[in-house]
Amino acid sequence: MIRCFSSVIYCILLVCWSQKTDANHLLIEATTDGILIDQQLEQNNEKNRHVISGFVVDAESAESLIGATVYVPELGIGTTTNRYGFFSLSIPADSVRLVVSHIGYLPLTLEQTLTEDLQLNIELSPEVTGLDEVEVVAVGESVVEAVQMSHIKLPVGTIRALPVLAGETDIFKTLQLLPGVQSGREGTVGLYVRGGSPDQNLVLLDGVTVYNASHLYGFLSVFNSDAIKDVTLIKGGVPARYGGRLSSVIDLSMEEGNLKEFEGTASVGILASSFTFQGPIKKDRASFIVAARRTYLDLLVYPFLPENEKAGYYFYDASAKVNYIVTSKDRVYLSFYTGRDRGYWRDRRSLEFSNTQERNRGDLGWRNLTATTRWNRVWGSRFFSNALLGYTRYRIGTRNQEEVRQLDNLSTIHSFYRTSFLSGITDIVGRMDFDFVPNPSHYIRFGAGGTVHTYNTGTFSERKFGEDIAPVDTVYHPDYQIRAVDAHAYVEDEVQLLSNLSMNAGVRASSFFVRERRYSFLQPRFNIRWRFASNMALKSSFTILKQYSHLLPVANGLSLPLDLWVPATDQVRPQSATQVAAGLAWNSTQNKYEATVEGFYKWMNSQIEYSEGVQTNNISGDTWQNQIERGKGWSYGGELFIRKRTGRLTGWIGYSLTRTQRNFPELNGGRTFPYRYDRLHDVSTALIWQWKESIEVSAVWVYGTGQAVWLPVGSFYGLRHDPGGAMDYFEQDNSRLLSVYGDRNSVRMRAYHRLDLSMHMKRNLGWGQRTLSFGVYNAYSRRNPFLLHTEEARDERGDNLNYLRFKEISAFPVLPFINYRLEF
Amino acid sequence: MKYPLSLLILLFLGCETIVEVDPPEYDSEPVVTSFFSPDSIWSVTMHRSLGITDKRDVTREYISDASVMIMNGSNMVDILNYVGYGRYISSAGGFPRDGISYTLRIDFPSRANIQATSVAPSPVIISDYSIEPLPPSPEPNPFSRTKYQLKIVFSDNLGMNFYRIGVYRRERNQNAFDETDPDSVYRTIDFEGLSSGWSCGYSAVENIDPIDGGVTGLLCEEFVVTDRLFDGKDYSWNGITSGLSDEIGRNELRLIISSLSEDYYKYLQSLERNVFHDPLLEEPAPVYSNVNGGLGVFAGYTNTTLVLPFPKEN
Repeated sequence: MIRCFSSVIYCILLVCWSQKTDANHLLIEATTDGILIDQQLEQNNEKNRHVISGFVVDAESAESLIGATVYVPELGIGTTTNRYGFFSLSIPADSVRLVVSHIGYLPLTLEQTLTEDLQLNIELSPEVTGLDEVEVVAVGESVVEAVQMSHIKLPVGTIRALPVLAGETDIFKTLQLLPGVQSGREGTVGLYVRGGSPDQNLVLLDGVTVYNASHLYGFLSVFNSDAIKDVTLIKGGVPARYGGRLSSVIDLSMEEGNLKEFEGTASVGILASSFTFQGPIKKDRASFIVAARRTYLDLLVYPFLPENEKAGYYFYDASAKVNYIVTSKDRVYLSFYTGRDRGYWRDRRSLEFSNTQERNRGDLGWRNLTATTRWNRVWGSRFFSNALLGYTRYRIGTRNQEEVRQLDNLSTIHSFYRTSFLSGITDIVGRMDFDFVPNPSHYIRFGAGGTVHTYNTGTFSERKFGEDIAPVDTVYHPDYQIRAVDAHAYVEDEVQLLSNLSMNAGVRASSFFVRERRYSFLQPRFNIRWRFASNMALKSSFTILKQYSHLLPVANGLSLPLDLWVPATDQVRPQSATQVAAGLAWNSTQNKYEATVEGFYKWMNSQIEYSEGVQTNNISGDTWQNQIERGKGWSYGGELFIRKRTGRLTGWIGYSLTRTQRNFPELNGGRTFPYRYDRLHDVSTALIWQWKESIEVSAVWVYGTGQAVWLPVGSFYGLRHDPGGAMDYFEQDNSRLLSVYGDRNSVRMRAYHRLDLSMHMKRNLGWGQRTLSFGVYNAYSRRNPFLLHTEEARDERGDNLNYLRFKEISAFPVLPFINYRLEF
Repeated sequence: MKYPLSLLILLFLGCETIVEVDPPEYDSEPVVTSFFSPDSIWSVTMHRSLGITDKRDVTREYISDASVMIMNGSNMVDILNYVGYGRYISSAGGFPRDGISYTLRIDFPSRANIQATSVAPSPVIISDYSIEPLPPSPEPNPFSRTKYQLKIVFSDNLGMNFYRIGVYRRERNQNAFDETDPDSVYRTIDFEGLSSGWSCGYSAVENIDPIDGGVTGLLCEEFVVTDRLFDGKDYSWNGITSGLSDEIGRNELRLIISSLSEDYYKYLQSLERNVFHDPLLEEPAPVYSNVNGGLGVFAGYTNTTLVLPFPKEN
């Protein structure tokens, strides 16, 4: 019903739009702010228009600035730079005053006399951190001006300033502090956006998908913030240029490298160390940046292990990017990222009495690799293109090995047994995107592309040999792969319908070819903004999204790397979602404060979950298709976001009120149940206080309703029949209790809350700057529940295991951290 | 794969505490367990389940006041009488027959009746078998015992079938002089690879897809398998026993291939997953039940038994 209603509204708007754009003689009176727009007059003025286009860059590094605002106050028109720093603005006047601003930079005012189209490269100077200046720093596009709703840009400086687990700056953990984004279990980086699952987030790094964004079993994200320039989260009203995921887009741009001078950073923390180095290859023409990070958990643990045992864990990531300005109109980027996690354990036991040595070893590792080539071209003052060729690969592998050797002759193997498992996904991506700005009323984006996916849904191999052992050397599902092609085309137009009414309307057509099956869909996307006062706007969005990949979680909501990416197939349909949202945006004078209130409803179809009782660690090859259930889900709620963007104190308060449910005919008796991360209340507060010129203090406080978990509500005494004897209680001690499970996720863990504090002290060293950061995670040491489970307990007599009780594992008590960072 | 992972994750976690949780209300349910086969008279055991916060001893929650009947369609087949400890047995000493669908009907004085239906499948026909001792290890090992290579061939009927294969050896009661003592019992014997650690269930039996070919019994000593990979064909099963001592028990093994109903298979499968569920990494697995109005299972099976004398070692 609501969907139908929304569709009708948008159809009406579409008609209005087409009337305006197709019939330029139409006179439209907009009485809400007393402005009369004469379309015919506008058409006549078209001849007098001039286009100012170009790039907005950082004055010190010449890096392009994403989302900078270029605004003509007298005419009330403006635009923002695209993700490559390009802008184009058509101006119906001979002389104008341009105000260019971007968050963290001093605004720049330019007076221009226009006799012809003009190309400008505008340099903005970064703010000088000081108490006098902070009040005048510009903040870029305001939330009221933006047509797009449900999107938040987070400055990397803000991300770095907030306290985090173990002192490791983490982009995903900062995103979890935003309304509408919920975290998974304590400390993990899984993102649950508006009731969606982690696989429904499109994580883009320089335009290509990163499939697993976690290090350290999900406790850290894979992105080194020192190498990231821009982070944008879109959680609703996803524009047509994005596709392939249902719930959100997390668009990350890597730093491009300083075109003017060499600079670098080095950071040492208790968990990992990192460095970045960047500079010109050819001044003002070509630059590079390299960044790397490695943890040293393995090195710290190593001395404490017994001689015959080895265990460790490490991760690293490294990225590099080259940026080359070929001509004033052509620019080429090459970017590369790789990250790896590895956990391992070894042990050896010598048994003198049997003259044998037992050797056991295990490995678990996963790796991300992305490589991207992009070519930007400015085809004229109104036309911009970007061609992308990308490659992304994700691999996860495990290996376990047990062997017995002869102690006095270790080359003699008595028995050998090894199993290994490998899965992953590889994408080759090609895409062309165009920006076309015909006049100030339209900003048209269109493009097309394709992705060749190769899914390896699990290859299991086994090898064994030895005395008295029938030798086996087998690979089950060898080179098991599913190839699929995902093709898309889109067009979207950000159109100003009236002086105070704008819309971003678009459609994305996509097809997915897998085996003999083809899925094709049209996905309409609309965002509309009605600015009914100078500092307030009503916004609404309607989107239909399709997702052709599913993620089968191995672990119970942990977002572990072992989760299996699988494609839509002839048996499993693509996921789909329809979302409607509406909200109110407000910002204060000079955009010092902003606030949004949004409500949304999201329907999700073709969701999958494991069938009850499936052993998720045994999935491989094609078998997963027989071990899942299909169902639907929905979520709805409201979000409040109040942000202070400038001044000594910056930060935000976010609140979400959300319900998220699922319904699967074959699960929970067909009854609707709360989704794993259904969380009614979610509050987050992040504050950064510039105490002194060189001292910054920050605090984060979060609160969330207790997690919904599926636990036993009863128990009974189970029997097992042994064909070799009489009916018997099973297990040797006659003591097995079986659990009766109630409705899924019907038990709530305790509420979650936590306070983190940090302080950053900066000092100029002449040749650079050092920052000493320290703080505490979970300052008041709240024992937040990580896992709730049951265990068998004995009665007071101690003679029987005869009831179950709840046991809770909590993670991360108060954890201090320290970090030392050098910038030079 | 999952167990080492759990350990690694737990390295990063803090302490464990017992907490009070307010679970949803739960009404006690009757738990019915009956495995029937043509070899045994009708028998049903009934307990009562308890709420999670109930501290009573659930092992003694017998149900003694039910009326238990076995039906074949609308025909009464047998009535079962209560004999204590929650157990009801056939009053007439009746035996089930294979291939016939039976319905268990239980009436209670104070609540709605419950029903369950199942069938004991046709027995397996073993067409060939062999048991051979494996040559001893060339290296002297004081703890080595003789291992046997066991091979069985049987025919599978078209359609989905379920089997449990177990090899048993009679073990004497600890207080008895020999295994002929009436208290001595048959115990399952281990097979290579089925009994050790995380790999339990994967690899002991050849010709089985380790991913979806079967599940093991709870103790990894029995092999439970579907015929997904050999539907309608002869099935050859190979296994190597763990080392067997010649000094204990009779010099024979008893092979039992049980042809299981689907209910039986699903119950066994869910038992294993219910009991060995890893709360950190896995969703819970409720115990399968085909009892309408209660918990537990009413499941048929048919045994085919073969006595295998130990061959003499060379």
